[in-house]
Amino acid sequence: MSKKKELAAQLAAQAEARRAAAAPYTPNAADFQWVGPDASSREAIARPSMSFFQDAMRRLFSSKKAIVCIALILLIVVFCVFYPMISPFTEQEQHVTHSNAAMFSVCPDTGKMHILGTDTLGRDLMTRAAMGGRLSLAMALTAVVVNGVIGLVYGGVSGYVGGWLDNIMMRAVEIINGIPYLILLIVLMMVLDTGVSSMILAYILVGWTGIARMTRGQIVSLKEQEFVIAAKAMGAKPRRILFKHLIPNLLSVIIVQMTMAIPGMIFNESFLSFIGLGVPVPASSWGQLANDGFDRFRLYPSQMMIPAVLICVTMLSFNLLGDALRDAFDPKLRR
Amino acid sequence: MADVLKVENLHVSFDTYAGEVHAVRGVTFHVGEGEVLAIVGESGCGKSVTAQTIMKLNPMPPARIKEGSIDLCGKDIVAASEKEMQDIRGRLVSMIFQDPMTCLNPTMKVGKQLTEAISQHRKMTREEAKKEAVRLLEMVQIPNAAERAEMYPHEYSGGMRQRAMIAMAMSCEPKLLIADEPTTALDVTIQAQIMQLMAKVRKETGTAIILITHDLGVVANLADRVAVMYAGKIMETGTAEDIFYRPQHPYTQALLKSLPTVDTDRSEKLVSIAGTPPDLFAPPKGCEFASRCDHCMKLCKQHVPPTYDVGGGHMARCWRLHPDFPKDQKEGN
Amino acid sequence: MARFIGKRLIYSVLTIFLLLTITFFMMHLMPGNPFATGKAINENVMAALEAKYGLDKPLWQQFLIYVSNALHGDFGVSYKNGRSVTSIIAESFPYSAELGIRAMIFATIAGLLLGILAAVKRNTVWDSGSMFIALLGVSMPSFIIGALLQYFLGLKLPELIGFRLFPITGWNTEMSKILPAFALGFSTLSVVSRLMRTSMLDVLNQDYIKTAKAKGLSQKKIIWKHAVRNAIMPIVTVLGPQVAAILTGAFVVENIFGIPGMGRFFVTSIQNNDFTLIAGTTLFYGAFLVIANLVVDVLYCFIDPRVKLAEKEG
Repeated sequence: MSKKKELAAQLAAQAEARRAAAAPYTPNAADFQWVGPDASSREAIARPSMSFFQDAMRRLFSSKKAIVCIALILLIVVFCVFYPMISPFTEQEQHVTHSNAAMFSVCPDTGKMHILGTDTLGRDLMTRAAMGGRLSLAMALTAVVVNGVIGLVYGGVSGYVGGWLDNIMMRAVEIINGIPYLILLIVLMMVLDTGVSSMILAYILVGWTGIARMTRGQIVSLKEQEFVIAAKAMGAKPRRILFKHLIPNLLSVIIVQMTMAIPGMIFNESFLSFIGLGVPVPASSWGQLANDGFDRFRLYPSQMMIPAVLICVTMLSFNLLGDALRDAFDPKLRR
Repeated sequence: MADVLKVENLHVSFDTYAGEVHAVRGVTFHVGEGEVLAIVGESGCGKSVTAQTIMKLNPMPPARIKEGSIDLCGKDIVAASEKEMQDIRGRLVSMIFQDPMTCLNPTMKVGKQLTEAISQHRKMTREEAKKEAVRLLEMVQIPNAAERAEMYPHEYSGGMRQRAMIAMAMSCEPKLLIADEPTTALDVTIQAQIMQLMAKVRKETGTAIILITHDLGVVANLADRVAVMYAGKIMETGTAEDIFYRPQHPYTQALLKSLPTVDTDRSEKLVSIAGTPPDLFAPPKGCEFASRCDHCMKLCKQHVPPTYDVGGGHMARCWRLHPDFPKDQKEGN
Repeated sequence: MARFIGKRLIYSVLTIFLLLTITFFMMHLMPGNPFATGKAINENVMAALEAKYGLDKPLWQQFLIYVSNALHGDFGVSYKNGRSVTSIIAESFPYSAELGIRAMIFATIAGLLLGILAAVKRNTVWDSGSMFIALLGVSMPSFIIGALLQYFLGLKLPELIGFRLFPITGWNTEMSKILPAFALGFSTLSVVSRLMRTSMLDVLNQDYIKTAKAKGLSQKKIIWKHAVRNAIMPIVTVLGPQVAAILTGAFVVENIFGIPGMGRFFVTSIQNNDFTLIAGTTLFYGAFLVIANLVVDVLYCFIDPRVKLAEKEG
């Protein structure tokens, strides 16, 4: 009850202060001079205007979450790219006398330290983790970019042309989508030769449908929106409509979608490695390392934990970044 | 006549991403028992916010009552807890909204939505509540009410939905009904039906009504008093007669000029008000209407005008009502 | 309604046909003769295969034979152990089904609750907490979750509390079924909770929620009687794809926890290059999922009264 009274008193005090500040002004004769309406200020917009991408980027970088994610991703990429260059060990180098070593153990052969220990064959885990990361990230990135391009073109043509072509193209996508992604991937992996390039090929063959559908959906809905109809009515050429109106609106959705697809690809890679369809030995990828580590998980948990943490942190960062990007691009939040 | 509702110097703000938007800036009005008050204004002038604040329906945060008081049948709304508000909503005050399409739950039968409102505040068995729901639907002239009660909202037409909304709002016979643009989303012919229905409901139940609209034409027949809002403030208030026949504020005058009537001579031009209302993110220094006002004076741009009583509760907020204002002012360059 | 279901049916048939074609060509594109893998194959099996697939006939006839066999539920014989693929599926599927159903029920219920909690307590610790859990779920492959659960709850927990609460592997006691179901359902839980949160927030912004509030209903009633029912509808649509996720997730989870389900056979067949078994199980999975999707689509029609109307009018 006292809280309520306190609040009331506070409100009253505020009101008093406001009333004092806004005490009626006593005008003099000159004040009544007529000036009429003011054309320039009556349409004034008080908020600063900003381009869509400027605004989105500002919003993105004002989110702590996004900055942490970007920093983590950069850190992992820098580690994967540069660590093998400065590492005292190579990816394949075996020190059989020093196998399954613990973290921070010194190698008896070279006198250098295995910061993250070694695996059963005495290979340096930190170097292998970095090399594995290079492969996993490169595969994911390539697959996502190619998927994005194929999906954009396919969905773009389908949505923009419309009519019977759209009908046929989208039916085809529906039919492919009927088969679960991973099963299709597995069957393709069985058909193709083992190796990194065929893994990427398999990802590409099954992964483009999502972006194609999304692009098509966006284009169809954008095509019917007033601003495009308005542009058409003003005699804008189709090319101009496409580049000035459709693509910028589409881009934000696609960027988000592609960011979110990267963790999916990393997941696929590790999943396939786990069921024995990964990169061929002796190459390493995160999934392959996790799979190797799993066999000895109960005895040497760190051998699995290291690639597992890398996989999870990378996937988490990309997922969070995707969320942050979506929030940043969402025009409904532009207030 | 006792007042059902007294709103005193109400200030409401929204804390948005870009900063504080001061949407309602010192609004004072009252509604007597069984009286119809119309609040008129352009979109974005704060009328809906005011109405929703009376029921504390707008989510807080981001909305915030900065200062002022709301007294509803002797209850202090500003200080009321959510629990107390639940008892007040529906029983003392209820509300109908602009778009009847979206205001009814699409996956619940209309009858069920009504009985829910009834049993919330009235002690009734399920059977009694059901009967009462049918009676209410009959009151708002829905044909085959018993059958209709078993249907989903999408099986109703727009006008019927709004009538069902009115039935729901009246289910506990509240002292005050707030109608937030009840006819805006409807066809013109249906609009008239809804307004007639509101008049009928008021006559039968004696409830007071706050009618919020941007259309002065809608209020003419029903409203006892009118308050004209602009940029979060009440610019002019008075009886319907005052406002329609003796408007004092240039904004009210402009609104009336922009209103077509059957009597409008074809040679008379319909006048639009050039420009847009100010952005409440950064309200202007002087009178809010100054930049759009044909009668704007030097003074208006610098100082906020006080409220002048023109007589008989007819108030307006304009420097032209100042005693020193030269009545023979020449305008134009 | 009939038209809609008919359309879905045609798609389903086409999808299954596509799957048949792919698996058929998988068998034929295998490096070298698919049935001469270099390893000694049982003479009888070889003869049975030759007869079954008519390997001397033209390709299109072989395809027809393959399709007709598959349609009769005959997926051939595993040439690793000579058993019929159908009998392997019949024996192992019940395990997978039980695991899958447990995972699905757990994931849906927990996911819905988590999503509702996050939406209702928006921008609080509850919200960020639930969404962090959900984020973990989409960021951790199921084999990592499985391995971690096995290590910490199966192996380390007994050392701490002195007795074994969760068996490390196996599928016989109630307790042994908890960890696999959790590991398998976790990603679905995340998807469901994230979607439910978005859907709830969307519904809570709808006008009819305001109407319900204006009636004087309590927050609790508004959420359970008005919001949840409407917010759940979009969730139904992701359940189809989630069945697929659970099914493929079972490949690894069954392996980790040593459950004699179909996923385990599938993975073993991949590692052994047992092509008939791969083709058979793939077809079975495909058909199963196509039907699951069909059921979900039809279910959706029945749940949402508005869909029925749109069909009536359209």
